[in-house]
Amino acid sequence: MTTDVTSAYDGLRGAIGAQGQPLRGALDIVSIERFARASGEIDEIYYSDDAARAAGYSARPAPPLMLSSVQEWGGGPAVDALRPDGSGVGKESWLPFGGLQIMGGGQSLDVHAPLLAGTTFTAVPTLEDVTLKSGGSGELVMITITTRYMADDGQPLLTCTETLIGR
Amino acid sequence: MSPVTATPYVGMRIPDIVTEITTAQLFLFSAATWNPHRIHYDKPYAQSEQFEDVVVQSHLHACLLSQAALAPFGPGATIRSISWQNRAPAYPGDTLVVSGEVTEVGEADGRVLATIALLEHRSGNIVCVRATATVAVPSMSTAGEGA
Repeated sequence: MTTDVTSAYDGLRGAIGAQGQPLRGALDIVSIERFARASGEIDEIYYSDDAARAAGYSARPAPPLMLSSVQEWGGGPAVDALRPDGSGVGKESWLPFGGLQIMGGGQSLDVHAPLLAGTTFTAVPTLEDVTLKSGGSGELVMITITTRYMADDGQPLLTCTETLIGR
Repeated sequence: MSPVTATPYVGMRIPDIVTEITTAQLFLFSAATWNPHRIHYDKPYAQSEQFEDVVVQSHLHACLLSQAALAPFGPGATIRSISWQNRAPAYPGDTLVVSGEVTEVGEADGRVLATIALLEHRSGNIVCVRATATVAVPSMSTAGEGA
C-alpha cells in the first residue's frame, strides 16, 4: 500500500459513522426533463403532464435514478475548490479522500415513495464503512456511503447505499 | 388507470435495450447531474487514470438498466429497488446492450412484484454491469401512483 493510499484509508476509517451536512433539494419539471433526456428516457410520463396523469401520477414523476444520480442540488462549490480529479460536490464533498482517485462502484436503492415534481427534500449522507481490497492495479479503498432522502412532510423517499472505489 | 402491457412471470425475458453511447450524452448527463468529475469529459485526464477514453457515468449505466426493467410493463410500473455493481468501464462509441430475465414474482399492496436479473454488455461482449431490480407492476384492478 502506498503512503497516499494508507493515509487516505486511515483518514476515512477515522470518519466512519460521520454524517455530512444535510443537503436540501427540490424536484422541478425542468430538472426532471433534462435528467430524462440525458439518460435517454423515452417514456412520455417524464415529459408530459397528460401522460403522467394517465399513468396515475398526481404530478410529473422523476426517473427512479434521478435522486441518487444528481451529485449537487445547490449551487455547489467554486470551480477552484474542486479536487484535482474534479470531484468534490454535494454528498461526498465532506469526505477526507486525501489524494485518492474516486470512481463509482455501484449502488443499492430502495424507493419508498414516488418521486414527484414539486417535492422538496433533505438528503443526509453517512459514511458507513471503509475497507481495503486488492485490485489488479494495487490496493483499492472501498468506501460505503448511505444517503437517506426524506421529503419535507416526513415521507421517506429513497435510501441509497453506494460504493465508491478509491485508488 | 395505468395501462399494463405485460404481466411478469418467472423466466420471462426482458427485451434488450440497445444504446449507442456518445460524448454528447455523457456531457448532458454530467450537466444534468452536476457531476464535474473529469473522467467523464476530459480525455487526457481520463487516460492519466488508465482509462481508454472518457468514461460512462456509473449512474447512466443504472438508468439504462432501470429503463430495461420497466419498459415491458407500461408507464404505471415503478422501481421498488435496484442494486448494481460496475464491472468494467464503457466509452463513447460503445454499444451498450441491457438484457434481463424475471427470476421471481410475488405480490404486495395489490401490485405484482417482479425481481429481474439484469446484465449490461458493451462491445466485445464485456460485462459492464450486473444488477437486480424489483419492479412493481399494477394489476388490472389497481391504479394510481405508488413506489
